[in-house]
Amino acid sequence: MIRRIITHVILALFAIFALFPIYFILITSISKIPLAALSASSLIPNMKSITLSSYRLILTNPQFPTWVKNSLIFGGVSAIVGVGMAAFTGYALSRFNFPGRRTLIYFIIAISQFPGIVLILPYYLMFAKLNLIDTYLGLLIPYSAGSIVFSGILVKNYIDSIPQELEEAAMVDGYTRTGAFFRVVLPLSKPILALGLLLAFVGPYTDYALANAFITSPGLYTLALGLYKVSQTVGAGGINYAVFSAFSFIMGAPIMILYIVFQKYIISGLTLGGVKG
Amino acid sequence: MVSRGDFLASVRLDNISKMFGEVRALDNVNLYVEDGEFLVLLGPSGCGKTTTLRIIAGLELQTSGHVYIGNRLVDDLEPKDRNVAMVFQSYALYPHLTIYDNIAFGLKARHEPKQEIDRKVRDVARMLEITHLLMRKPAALSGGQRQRVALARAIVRNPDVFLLDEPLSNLDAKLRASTRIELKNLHLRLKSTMIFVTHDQVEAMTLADKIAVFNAGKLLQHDTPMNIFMKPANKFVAGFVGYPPMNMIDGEIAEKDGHAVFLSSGLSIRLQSAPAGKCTLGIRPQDIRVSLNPSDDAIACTVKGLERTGTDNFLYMSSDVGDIVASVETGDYTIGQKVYAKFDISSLHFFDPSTGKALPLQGVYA
Repeated sequence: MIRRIITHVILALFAIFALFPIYFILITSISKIPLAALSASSLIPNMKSITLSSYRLILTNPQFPTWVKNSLIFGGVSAIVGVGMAAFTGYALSRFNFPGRRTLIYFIIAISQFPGIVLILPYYLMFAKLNLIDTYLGLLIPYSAGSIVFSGILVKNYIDSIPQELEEAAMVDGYTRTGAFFRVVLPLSKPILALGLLLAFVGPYTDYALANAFITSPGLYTLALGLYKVSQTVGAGGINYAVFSAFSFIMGAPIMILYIVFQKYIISGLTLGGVKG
Repeated sequence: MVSRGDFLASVRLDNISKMFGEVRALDNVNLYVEDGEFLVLLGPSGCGKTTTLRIIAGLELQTSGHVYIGNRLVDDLEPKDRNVAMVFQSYALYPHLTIYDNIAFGLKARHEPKQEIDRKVRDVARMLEITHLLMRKPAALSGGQRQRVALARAIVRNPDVFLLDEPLSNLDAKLRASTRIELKNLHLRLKSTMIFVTHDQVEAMTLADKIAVFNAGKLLQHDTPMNIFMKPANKFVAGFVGYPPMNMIDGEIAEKDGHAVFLSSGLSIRLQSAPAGKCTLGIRPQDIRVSLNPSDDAIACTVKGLERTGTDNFLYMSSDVGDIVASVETGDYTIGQKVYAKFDISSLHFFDPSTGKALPLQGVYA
């Protein structure tokens, strides 16, 4: 009983730490006084000072639809391309015993842990040579490559838990190895593919550093770049925290909804052993 | 519904060897399975029986040798092109598909017309009494039901050869016995060639037309169940088949009073002509008579223990020639009791102790 109470207290503390920033952003975004939002008194919103003007400002910005479109293109295309290729990568790493397989797996894990920010300079030099700076392709390639790397390992671990006999049964039943992959392995990997797609979408969707380095044309601006631009220009001589917070909330809400909608898949994707033969 | 064409679905293995790295899993196996035969591959785990099955299926490629199904050399054919069906030990039902789709899977792979698929699936479901399960997923089925679905999935394809990898081992004892009978009836009805892997000698004896006994990658004997039991080709087969295992007594053959005799610590058995040398005598527990009174040729023993199975009593004894187990009628023995064991001279087996091969020797009543 006491153990349970202690567990719940600890979990509650963690929950407070996790939820407080979201709460803070929410109340700041509806506050009238943009620069004073950081004072402690404003933690409890004053009903009289509530306003949706920051939201109105963002949503009526003529560039806003362009930013949304671009974020969806970068996030969506790189998630589909990256996870699509990761499905094959993960299958090969799980099922084929080729020379250097273990080394390759460790190598992929190692580079997936590499901080992305240090890659910006080499990427920039490389893509400048290829004339891909300030283009869709120039960002889609590094975004997709990143998701192949981490989703590839996720998928590999998941496929490891799918009994090989299921594929063998499909092969005896009349399919080639490729047929068995598409009819048996891929449908059974849905949870991990859903998780991979979500994570691969969120990366480019929230990226600021790489997009900021590569993109100069306003027509290619993403939400993250738009967020910075709007909160910079509106405030007088500093960041407008109310607008910044409102924009953060607009950007974050769809991700939260996606997580809630795909919760079932994500949990079974994370617990790996979800498929039983 | 499940009719067989004129195609003769015999299976022939020619000098099949299989290496897994440095390990020789199969050593020059030659085996011919007749069309319509129920062959059981029997042996302890790791003996190569499952590898043999997987090589026939095409899931494993032999290191050397050839596989023929019918008159067709299938070495270079993918599993899907060999027209065999396999039932896996785990059943390997596709968890994301309904039972209907599990059974229809192989027919869809072969692009059969939809109506034809539906008719075949329903026919086989009726035959195996699983019609009420068709719309469920495998996870909602019991072990016995899954086993039937796995069988249905194989039967519906009307394959040339059925390959069954320990399909009964995950069932409880009672269900295993009834499924065994059903499987045998199914074979009588389909008249298909079936190759069945097991380590359970009861399954082998009750199901098989022929048994192939494997050990350490070698095919030791391929014969009818009765011959495997009555005329084991070597010491391993003699010891592996039958319960309790055959008694083995080491000794030697010498000449005594002008006759060949088998001698071992006081035991002396007259033989028809035999060359002198070391020899192992084998006798099944069922071929030993135990009595409380001494008699000629009977071995003096001390009771060590009694095993009752309900239908049989097995008496464990020690003697000068080693430990002996005998099948006895009653269980009225006490530990430490003196008893006398007499061998049925006509049921003796003799083996070469170095090669294990059966020797063509016969005991003679003195």
